[in-house]
Amino acid sequence: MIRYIIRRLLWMIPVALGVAVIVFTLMTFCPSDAAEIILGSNATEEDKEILRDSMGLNDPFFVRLGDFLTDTFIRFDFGKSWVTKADIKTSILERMPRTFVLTVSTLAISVLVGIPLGIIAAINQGKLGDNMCMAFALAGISIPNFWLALLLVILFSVKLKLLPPMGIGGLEYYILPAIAGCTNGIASLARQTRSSMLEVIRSDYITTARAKGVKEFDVITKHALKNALIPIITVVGTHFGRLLGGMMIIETIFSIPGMGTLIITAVNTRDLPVVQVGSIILAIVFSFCMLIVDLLYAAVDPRIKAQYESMGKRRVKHG
Amino acid sequence: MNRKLRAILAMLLVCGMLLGTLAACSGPDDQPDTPTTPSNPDTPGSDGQEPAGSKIIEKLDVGSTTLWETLTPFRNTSAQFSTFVRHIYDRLAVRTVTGEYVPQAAKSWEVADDGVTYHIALYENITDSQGNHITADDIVWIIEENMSRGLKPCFNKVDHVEKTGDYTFDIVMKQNIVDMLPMVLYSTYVFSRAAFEASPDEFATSLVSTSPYEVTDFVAGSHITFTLRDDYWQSEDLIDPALANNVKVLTYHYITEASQQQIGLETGTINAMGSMSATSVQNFEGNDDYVMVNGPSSNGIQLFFSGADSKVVANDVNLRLAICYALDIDGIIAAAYSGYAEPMHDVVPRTNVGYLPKWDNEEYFSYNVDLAKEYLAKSNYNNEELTLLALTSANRLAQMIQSYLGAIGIQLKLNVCDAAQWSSSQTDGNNYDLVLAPIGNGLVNLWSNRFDSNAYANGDATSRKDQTLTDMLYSTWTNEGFTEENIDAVHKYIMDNCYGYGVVLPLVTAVYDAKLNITHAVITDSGDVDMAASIYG
Repeated sequence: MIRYIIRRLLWMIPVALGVAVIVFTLMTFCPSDAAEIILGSNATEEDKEILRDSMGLNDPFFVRLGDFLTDTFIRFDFGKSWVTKADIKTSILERMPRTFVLTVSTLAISVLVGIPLGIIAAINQGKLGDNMCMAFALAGISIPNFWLALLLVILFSVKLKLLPPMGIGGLEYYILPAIAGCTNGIASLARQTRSSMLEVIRSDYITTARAKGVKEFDVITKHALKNALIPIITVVGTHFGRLLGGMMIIETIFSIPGMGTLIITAVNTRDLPVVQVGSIILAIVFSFCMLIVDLLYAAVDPRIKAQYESMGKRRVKHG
Repeated sequence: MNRKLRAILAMLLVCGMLLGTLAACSGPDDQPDTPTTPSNPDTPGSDGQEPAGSKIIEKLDVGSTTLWETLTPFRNTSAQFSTFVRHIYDRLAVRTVTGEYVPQAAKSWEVADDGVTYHIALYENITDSQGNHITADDIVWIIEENMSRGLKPCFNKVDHVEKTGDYTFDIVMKQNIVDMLPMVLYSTYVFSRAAFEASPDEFATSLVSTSPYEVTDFVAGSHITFTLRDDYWQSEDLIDPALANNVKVLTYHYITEASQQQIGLETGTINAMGSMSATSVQNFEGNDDYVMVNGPSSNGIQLFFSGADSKVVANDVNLRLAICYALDIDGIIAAAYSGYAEPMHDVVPRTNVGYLPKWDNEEYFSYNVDLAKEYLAKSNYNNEELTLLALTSANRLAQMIQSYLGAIGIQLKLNVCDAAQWSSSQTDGNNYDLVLAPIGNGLVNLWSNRFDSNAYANGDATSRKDQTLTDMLYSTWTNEGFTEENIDAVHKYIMDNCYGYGVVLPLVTAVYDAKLNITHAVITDSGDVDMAASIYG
């Protein structure tokens, strides 16, 4: 098992390198002039040329790519933002925890609401409960986050004065953003849970468990849900990764300086170093998420655990 | 039964969303039924009259759309004209709303006979919040650092700087250009070299301030809090009223989302919002709980025509005139700016130094469809599709221009792009036929960046090569040549040739809680309200 984890961790190196090369290439060939962005449209051609030279922008593409990869992966020097001159490592270390808290709380609500909804829908298939849950899921997928965010702010901040409408501070500042951001997750988790549960709930061993007199609650939670978890874990994992890099709308509305706003601002200003490092960090975090998802598979399904272990042993024998 | 139930659920869902939409669209409870006209930009007390003494406010929260990511003094021009910059650093001089430069750390400056050497004298008692004494050595080093880092274009106009005494130094400019030295003074943030060199991150996250305030809380991209120092170096009687400090703790919150700006005010999260978006501002019209102050922006929105030979507009003044006369500026102001803009009378905004007030009464391409069609008939236009380059923020304006030109038979394709792409395209006239540009910051600055044929690889900023205009500019923007007569001659030349057209001057609208009881709103050079300097009753 440990060999499997190490192998997966080593795979992250080419993934991060691949992301770095792709992002660097895309951003390099985007139509923009970094010198003009930094100096502003009032700068003369001479000023811009001097700055381009000092930033190495006149060097050949492969020289710049090589410099970037060496600085990032060998020296671990992420550099400074072209636009703000702020240290990128510091900016990311400041912003990542906020995005992480927001992502985890959003995901937690999605899981706590989405999975029970899916279970209720599945055990009441074709009945009122099923229709209500699926209507809720449909609404969750259909409602735009930014629209729901503003409605929540109007209700909880303007009318009821219960929660802060924006900004950062204690955990109370994350409640509205998390609720506004979780609707998609609730919907997809509810639908996935329902379909997985429906497959499992008709299995012979569930009928057997019921025939043996096991309580219905135990049948659902201990026998059915555990066996339906694999696809649900996949959805949770991919959703976590998507949330990490995709919270910029929620962050903008609620004035939360997180990774989403950092990267989107950097893309708009063609702040290449920030976009590159931000993307690499997100790719690595996403790879970690996928690794955790795979490990959770093993935790809930002994067959997969045995498969991972046998993969490791086979490799040892061949070696 | 099942289908019926689904239909009922669907109906309920639709009704819920509809109600939600209506709720979200509703403004404040006491919003008037009909919008009123924007309040007069010249609010009582903002006219430069000597204000009475102010009450000191303990704490104030202000919304801002300006992103300030780092406190380092060596940064580009982005956001350097924002209201709160003066709370971060003292400068050598500060520019007021009338375009006048008033001394701050520099006690005085004068130009030598050669027109390029300036003698600067510093106050002798400048200290920062750690007690470091600031001398000419610090300032000379700061200016030299700015020159070598090349982040602010005005420092590239400096030839060299030299210390002449403990508190005096000379700045020698490369060219005799009026208004350039004050811009250097304005762009020079004052701090101690020793404190800067002791900082682990060049003051990026915490700084030692020379300003009346200390930064006591700073989260990049979120907020910045200033607390009034009790050991500020300057004596009260020498502080210009435009730089008064009547608030003890001042926090600026970064809020870009238009609805949240309004909500922030309504919930009391912020007491004031500087430069609120026009769509949200309308919701405060006629609401006595809030005060609106409009100030003209330092940048106008101008339309420039390509001068590249490959473009049909470059050598066809009749086509350019047809385009200018086809635009209904009143309609644009009403529809694209919700009334929060005013017409221009030159490519230079009226707020800029060098603008001649007499231009306000001149005829300036008044909307006339018949005249536009006449010029179009005289032009060489042959149904070619013209391209307009514009920023995403000017999307609505671009669409209106497209419609107006369509009405006289000119086909216009829009190329609306983000700031980065716009910046890389706008100085090459081969990329467009027309370009919308938000430009200002002084008449000389605008001239040199738009009409100097020697400034860019292909000519001026639109790839035009007009040596006559360039020679006029060179002789006008010197200290001796900057006369009303010469300025007017340049204005007429640009108008006659229709090289550019001042479309609108947007108004910057600040909204604040009426309970603050501001009796004198101090407006800054960027059109915003300076909440610290304003007078509280």
